[in-house]
Amino acid sequence: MSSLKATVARGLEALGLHVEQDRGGLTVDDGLDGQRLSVRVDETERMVRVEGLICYPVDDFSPELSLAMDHLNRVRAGVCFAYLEAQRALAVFTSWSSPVRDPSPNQLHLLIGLVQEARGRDGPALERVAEGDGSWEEVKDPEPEPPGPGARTTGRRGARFTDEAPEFEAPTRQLGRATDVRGAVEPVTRRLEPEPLRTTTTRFSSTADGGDDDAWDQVFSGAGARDLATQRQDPPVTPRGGQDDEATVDEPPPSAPDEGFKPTSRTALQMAIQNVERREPERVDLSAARQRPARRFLVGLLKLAAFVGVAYVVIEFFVRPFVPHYFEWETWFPKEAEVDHRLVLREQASPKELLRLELEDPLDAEGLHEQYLTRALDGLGEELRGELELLVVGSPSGGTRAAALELWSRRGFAEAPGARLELLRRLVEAKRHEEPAEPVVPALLAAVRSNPPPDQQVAAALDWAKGDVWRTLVEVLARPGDGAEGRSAALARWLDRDTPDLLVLRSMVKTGFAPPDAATRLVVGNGVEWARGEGQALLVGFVTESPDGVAALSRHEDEAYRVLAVELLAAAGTPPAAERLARQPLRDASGAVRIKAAIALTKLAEPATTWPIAVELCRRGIDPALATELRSALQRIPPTESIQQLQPRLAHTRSPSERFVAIQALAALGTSGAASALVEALAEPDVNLRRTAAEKLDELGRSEVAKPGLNAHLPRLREVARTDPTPAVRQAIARVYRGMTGHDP
Amino acid sequence: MAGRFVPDVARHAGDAAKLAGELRQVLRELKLDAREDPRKDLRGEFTPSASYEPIPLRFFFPGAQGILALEGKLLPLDGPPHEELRHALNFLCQEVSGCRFYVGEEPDGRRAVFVRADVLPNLDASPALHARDLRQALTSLCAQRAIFADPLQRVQAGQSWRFVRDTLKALK
Repeated sequence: MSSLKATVARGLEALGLHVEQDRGGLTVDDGLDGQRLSVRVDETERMVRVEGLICYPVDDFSPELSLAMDHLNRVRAGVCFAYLEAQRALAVFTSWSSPVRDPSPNQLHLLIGLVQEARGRDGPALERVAEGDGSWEEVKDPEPEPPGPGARTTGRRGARFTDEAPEFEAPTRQLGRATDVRGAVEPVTRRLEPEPLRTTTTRFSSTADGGDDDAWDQVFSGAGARDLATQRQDPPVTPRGGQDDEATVDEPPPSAPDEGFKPTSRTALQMAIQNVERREPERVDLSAARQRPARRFLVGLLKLAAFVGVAYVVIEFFVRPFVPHYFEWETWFPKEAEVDHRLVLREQASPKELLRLELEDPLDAEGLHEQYLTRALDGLGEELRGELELLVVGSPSGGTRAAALELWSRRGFAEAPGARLELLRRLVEAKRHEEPAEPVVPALLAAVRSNPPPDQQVAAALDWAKGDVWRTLVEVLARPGDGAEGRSAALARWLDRDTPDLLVLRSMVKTGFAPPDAATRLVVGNGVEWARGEGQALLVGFVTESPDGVAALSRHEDEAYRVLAVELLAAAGTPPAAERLARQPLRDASGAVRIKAAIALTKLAEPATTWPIAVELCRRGIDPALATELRSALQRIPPTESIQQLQPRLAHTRSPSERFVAIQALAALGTSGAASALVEALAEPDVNLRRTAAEKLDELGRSEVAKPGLNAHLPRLREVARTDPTPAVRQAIARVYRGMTGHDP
Repeated sequence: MAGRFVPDVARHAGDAAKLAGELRQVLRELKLDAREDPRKDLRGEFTPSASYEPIPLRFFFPGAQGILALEGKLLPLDGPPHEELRHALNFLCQEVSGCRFYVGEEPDGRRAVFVRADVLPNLDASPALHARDLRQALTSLCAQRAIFADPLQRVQAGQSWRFVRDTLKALK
């Protein structure tokens, strides 16, 4: 017998209890009324548990019974009530446990006493509740908890445990008489013959489960009395067979020998707690995913790509720079030396063929190219020019033709008289000038432009030239200077076949020998916008050379053209252009033209325009704005030169109207020189003219600008003031004299 | 000798008032901060280690006797106990040595499931209430809460009481 168990057994025996061992543990009775209690000792957990049945059978764990037991568990100290479904019995338990001390006598006393007290105090009430004869409140104490220490339990049940004669209470169930409060006949299920207890074995082990279930079942399933508290002897009854199947929902499971209610050990609980705490995650077999073929393939591809990338970087940046030849194909697979078959051809070719071959497919090696070219040129001799020209004209390849032309030029064949034009002619005949991206014709034309052939040749070439070639030749003729008239004449033959853009006419204008109406024709042909744009320089040049060339333009019915004519004359700016400007445009029917002309004259300030301006100023009905502008133009002309233009007009041999205009113009000048010149008009034989002159002098005499010019003529003025036969003249001059001297003449 | 046993629980349980002082001493040893409630019961929380959720406890001496009741709150109940819960608690009362399970009331009147362990005083030794005995009982209460709170919650929600039985079988 183990130590704790032995200690417990000794302690219980010391209390006056009869202790017996069985396979389940110990059984204890007081030796008086046969009450037997089961004592289980767990050496490992150091736990002692005492169990006793209260009543039997209890068929139903009703809610009332549950409430009653709940209440008792809540209020009773030291005991635990439970319904054993397998035994159909109500039981009460007490327990003791200590890791450091053995149970003391008072604790052992409490273990047994609490069970017995509970059976005696609460057993009947629980039985009534189990039978359905009462509610759970049957178990409630009428007064509060049992009294304090020292007080003895009294009452019907309590007397049973004292030295007093116990009151015998008839059991609620009589053996042999089956009663059932629900009306059904309750079979007698207990054998009254006592059966010998099974031989106890030493198989009682200190296992954590607390003991052997078989012995426990033997002891308590064999209880025959319904209320064990009233039975003196409880013959053991074999466990009932045919237990309800556990499959039935509400039936309790059968109590198999190897099953049963094993008290949960502390160690098991601690292990359970550790398991809970560990909380290991579910194990997932990841290898299944890794083993899928598609995934493995993709992973392999990724690894390969990564490896290739790294290898490329390493080789490209760290290996190739040091050993580049190792990475060239030719290092490992050298090519056979290629024989240039072109050399073979050239060796076998005639000079003519050789020339063609070298021009068409020149050898890469410069030395070889020159070598074979020279051989060809030397071989051709006198025929070289002809062959080259044939190639220039006839070779299908533009590159060959260009090379042939270059060689032809280099050999000096271009210097031959008429050679370029002849070559051009052949090219035109071959219609090379019409080919796009043709290299030879432009090159030849550029050479002709830069170094023109004689004009006769160029003029003659116009007959066969076509397209750009013809145009270029026309442009070559369009230049001033020596032979310009002849060139203009040569161009004139093509005037009636001029191009839409009037190339011939323009070229003629450039020569300076254009038809008189060239400007007009150009402007009309190309438009005013052209004349003011790209054609302005040409036209101005033309007008400069030939101001009369705008005569027709100045008389054109379209005002825009007449305005343009004024602009061109003004742009030309030469004295002849200015004179031209002072004639027709000043008399133009359009005021805009007249004003424009007047403004242009103001800017030009050309002395030659003095007389035309003066004539216009004296024209009757002149527009005031025009008159103002003309006066301004007149005054812009240097006074000395304008006076020189006007003074001769005062001569008596001039017509009176001319002398009148001169007097008016001199007066309009208002300068001292003009005033001085005007004094001469006092000798005018015409009274009216003389009077006009005197009046103008009278006006000029009031001007400080004119006075210096009059000072030199004071004696003349005094004489006229005294002796002129015309009173008005005398008076006017007297005023002038008086104004000059301050006293009468 | 047989036949001379006379149960006297009251005398052998000791004096509650005297043992209450020893209880406070033991609680201080266990570094358990317990406060007295209006009913003169001591209340506090205990956890044996940081990995355990503390369990609310009530320390009292039922019936003014010296048997110390350690009552721990297992889980609160929202509503009346389910039929299956009664069976589950009854099952646990049978199976779990040293503990009992029942439905009780909290001070505010709400129902809850409680687990309780009663400690028998050792009047023949000193101290009558040993700290290690108490710690063992309190740790057991914590263990019951850690293991059975969730299963009982499910049973209260309608699952069969056998879920608790299966939980216990899994532990064994």
